[in-house]
Amino acid sequence: MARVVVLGAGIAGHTSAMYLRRLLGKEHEVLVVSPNSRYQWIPSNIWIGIGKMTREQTTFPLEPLYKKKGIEYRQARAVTFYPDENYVMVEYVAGEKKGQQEKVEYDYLINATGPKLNFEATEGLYPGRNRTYSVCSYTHAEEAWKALSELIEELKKGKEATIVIGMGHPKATCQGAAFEYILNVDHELRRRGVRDRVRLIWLSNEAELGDFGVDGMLMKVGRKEMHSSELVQLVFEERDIEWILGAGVYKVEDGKVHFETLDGQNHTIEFDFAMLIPAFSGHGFKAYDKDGGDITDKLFSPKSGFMIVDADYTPKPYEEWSVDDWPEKYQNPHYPNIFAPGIAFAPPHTISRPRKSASGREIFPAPPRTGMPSGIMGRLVAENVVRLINEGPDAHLHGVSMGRIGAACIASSGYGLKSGSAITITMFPIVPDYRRYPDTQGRDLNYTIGHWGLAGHWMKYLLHHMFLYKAKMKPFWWMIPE
Amino acid sequence: MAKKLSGWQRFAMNCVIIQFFHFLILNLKIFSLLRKNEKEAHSG
Ligand SMILES: Cc1cc2nc3c(=O)[nH]c(=O)nc-3n(C[C@H](O)[C@H](O)[C@H](O)COP(=O)(O)OP(=O)(O)OC[C@H]3O[C@@H](n4cnc5c(N)ncnc54)[C@H](O)[C@@H]3O)c2cc1C
Repeated sequence: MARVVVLGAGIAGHTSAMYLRRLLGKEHEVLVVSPNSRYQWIPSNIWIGIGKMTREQTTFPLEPLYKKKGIEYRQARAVTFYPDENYVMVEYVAGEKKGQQEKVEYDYLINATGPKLNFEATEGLYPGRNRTYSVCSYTHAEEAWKALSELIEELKKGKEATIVIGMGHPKATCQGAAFEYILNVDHELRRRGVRDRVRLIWLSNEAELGDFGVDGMLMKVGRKEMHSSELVQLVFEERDIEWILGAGVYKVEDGKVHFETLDGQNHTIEFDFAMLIPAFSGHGFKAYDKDGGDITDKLFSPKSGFMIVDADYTPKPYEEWSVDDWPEKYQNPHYPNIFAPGIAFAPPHTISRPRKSASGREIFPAPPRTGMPSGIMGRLVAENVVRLINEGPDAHLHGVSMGRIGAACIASSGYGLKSGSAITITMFPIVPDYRRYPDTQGRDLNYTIGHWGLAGHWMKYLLHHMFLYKAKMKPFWWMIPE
Repeated sequence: MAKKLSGWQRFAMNCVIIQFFHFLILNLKIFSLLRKNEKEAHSG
């Protein structure tokens, strides 16, 4: 009998747990440890942030599902790792045992704890403080909508306002989510007849529009080839959205955001409402050996705090980066029974070109690991653990890097069956492969496309229901791809 | 400088019938990407 412990019930961890339970015999135990009592389909937080969806529509409770499917569950958070003795210390976050610690033993460990939303990395940035908000969780998105709807009421009475949306740290990522939010806010303001009273500003650490943390991309739009920067510029100009690029936000005060741009100039913008994505980091976990010696650096990257896996972490200049640097199995090199799918793994480097401002501040997006690849990695790792359990340590493990998988980002730009719209961008691969696709900036144009229109909204709505159906493990859920 | 959308492009973006065909094409594109991902993940 083997025991597989999954830390985190987000897209990667929940996908791993679902496949482990489906593929492993009942004699094996699958245990999920996660502080969240509800599964949340994060991409739909955008719609909570404009009041078009409620938490009931984008989340569901995990415990009843896990009970029904034979998955053990602890509402707790991992605190400390003891990889030599195969256990983690976890601390309960709710119920009678709240605050108590427990030793959780494993044969295989899947660390899918995603990012820590590192608001502290930017002075004054915290959701609900200083008029800044976030949409990174459903509770944050609810707060954002409450503040935005109050502002809309004031706009209706004649107030004029500035709204800033973008990145709240010089190295923040998740540009796609902020892009989606700014377009939805624009749509909502228009729908309510107050758009002409608002200055709407995109504030980003990207050096170019449409970089999205993946170095931008050449894509097919209809029969034409277009760069993502042109598509985003077209969208922003159509919507009268201003943009500020190469901006490293370092401080927020009540209604004021301070940032440095790549040319070394410092700026301040006053605003009435801002949604700024924080830096993402690891959770600051510690690891110890049998004798109590600190071995954190064997499990976690000292730079980002994310888990070290089978990537090539040798520092090298941008020109020498290759798809081969990216991990394939998401397996820790020192402890082969530990894996880290999704945002939890430490990337070898960014995908966008690193840049420094004239004063030496690093301003560029960290690499995104979006929902689709997180789900694929979650499944891949689960299937590999099943191989190890069934065939032993010499089992052939499968691998796929972000240089061999694609992603789809459907940035909703308005909600409504007939009035909605979305910008759909698909790319393959996520990490550009300049050897395989030398003439198309590292991407396969058969799978790298852009589309703007109502159809994208329907697509996003369909995917919302499809992925929640899958996450609820309803009949034939496993036939739905990640 | 990016071009502004033409009147025809703006109409096509919101026309339910045209967008229905785009929806079918998008479905094809996205599901073929999902299938490609699955194939890559099982061939590595
Ligand atoms: C607003 C928004 C919109 C987005 N839209 C899209 C989109 O349209 N398409 C797309 O592909 N991607 C999108 N993304 C990105 C996508 O949501 C992430 O890529 C994905 O959630 C990453 O999955 P994950 O499992 O690695 O991390 P998460 O989903 O963050 O899950 C991490 C899990 O770990 C748990 N955890 C945290 N700490 C601990 C601990 N100490 N111990 C145990 N468990 C812990 C958390 O509670 C959570 O359950 C969006 C993101 C945001 C914020």
